[in-house]
Amino acid sequence: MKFIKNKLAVTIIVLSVSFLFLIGFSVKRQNATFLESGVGGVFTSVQGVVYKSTNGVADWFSFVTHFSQIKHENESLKAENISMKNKVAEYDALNNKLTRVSAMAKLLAPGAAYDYKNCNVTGKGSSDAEDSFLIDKGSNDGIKIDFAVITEQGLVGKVISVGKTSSVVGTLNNANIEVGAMDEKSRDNSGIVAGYEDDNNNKLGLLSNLPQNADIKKGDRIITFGTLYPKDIPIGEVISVGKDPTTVSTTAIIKPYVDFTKLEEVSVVIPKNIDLNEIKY
Amino acid sequence: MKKVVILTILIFALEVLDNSMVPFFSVYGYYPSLLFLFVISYSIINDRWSALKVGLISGALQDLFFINGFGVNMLVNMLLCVLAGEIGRNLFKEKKLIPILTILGLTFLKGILVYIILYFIGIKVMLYSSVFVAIYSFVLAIFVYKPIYKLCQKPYMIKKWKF
Repeated sequence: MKFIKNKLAVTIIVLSVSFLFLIGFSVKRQNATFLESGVGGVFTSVQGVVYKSTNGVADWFSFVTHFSQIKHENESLKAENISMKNKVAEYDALNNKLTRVSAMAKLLAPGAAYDYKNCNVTGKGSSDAEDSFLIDKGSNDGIKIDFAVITEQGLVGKVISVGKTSSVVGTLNNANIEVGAMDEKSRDNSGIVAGYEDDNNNKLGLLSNLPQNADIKKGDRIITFGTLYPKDIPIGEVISVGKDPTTVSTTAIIKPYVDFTKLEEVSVVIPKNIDLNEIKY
Repeated sequence: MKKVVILTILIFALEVLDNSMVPFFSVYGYYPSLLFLFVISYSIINDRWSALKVGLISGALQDLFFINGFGVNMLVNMLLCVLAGEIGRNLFKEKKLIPILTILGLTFLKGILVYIILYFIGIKVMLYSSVFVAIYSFVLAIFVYKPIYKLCQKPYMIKKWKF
């Protein structure tokens, strides 16, 4: 009975039991009681003010405690920044290229006989691995079969198939495409450039059908002479000259100015006075 | 009367700080409860009935923002504060070594008790987090026990509770 006279012990036991009931009761409910949410609301509003004002201090504090982490983050950001800078430089270069293409397109239009449609290269052609590619413009933009395709560096090839919104362009080293060509210096205009692949699988061009005494040397510029293609478009540079005794003619290997494997945008040359049945440049 | 006002303001202010400021000073995600630290120190210094009352009030406030079971902190704080008062009866309170070791032990004990109660009502919590919380509280107690002791020795704090 001494135990019951200890008021503190009795109080604690009574309270403990009632708290256990309270816990068991309150754990099953879904919402806080009116009293709880009221008092909680007052606390939350006061805490909001303290929380906000602490934020600034805490930012500084977390900077100190997470210094190594922030340093690491800083380094990765630096690396990212460098790669971003490179990308911006690439973008600028591309932009310049576009300006040059547009400028060249204007330059190439004597008397504005041609329109130039800028197209993006969207893919490689399906049949012959690197001899054709796809562009994102088609008959809706006025493109037809046999139109010439150029870049600011020189001749690429011609359109060999047209869809409504896309076309296939055959490049110069496609076996089916031949170009009438001449030496820019000597204006010797009887040559034909066709696709050629050397022992190392380099995509080159073969200029044939030149007369045996043709005035052609290594390093000469070869340009179109304008039968099927617009006139004076650069094709490539002579890298070697040979004599063909059987046909009594001179041949030359030329290296095209355009890298056909790295095309991104091209221009289709559209003649203005267009005859639907026959294309004449 | 002044004692009641000061205690009320302190307990409410510490509760607000516990929820708003202390989490910012967490170490690896663990942070102590300033309110619990204060009431345990207060309980060690003062008698068991005062300990019972501050334990109940602080527990009620902590339960406001606790998981669904209202009363868990009230029960645990009440028991631990009375225990602290019981320990405090046999101590030289002006020496701080034993009181802060008591705080370390009781903070850890609180983690265990809360874990047990929550286990029985089907809520799983991390038990080992209470170890880190206890250590953090211990470090804080080294600095705050003496100020709390001095506060409790002020003439107006020695008077009996009047409510």
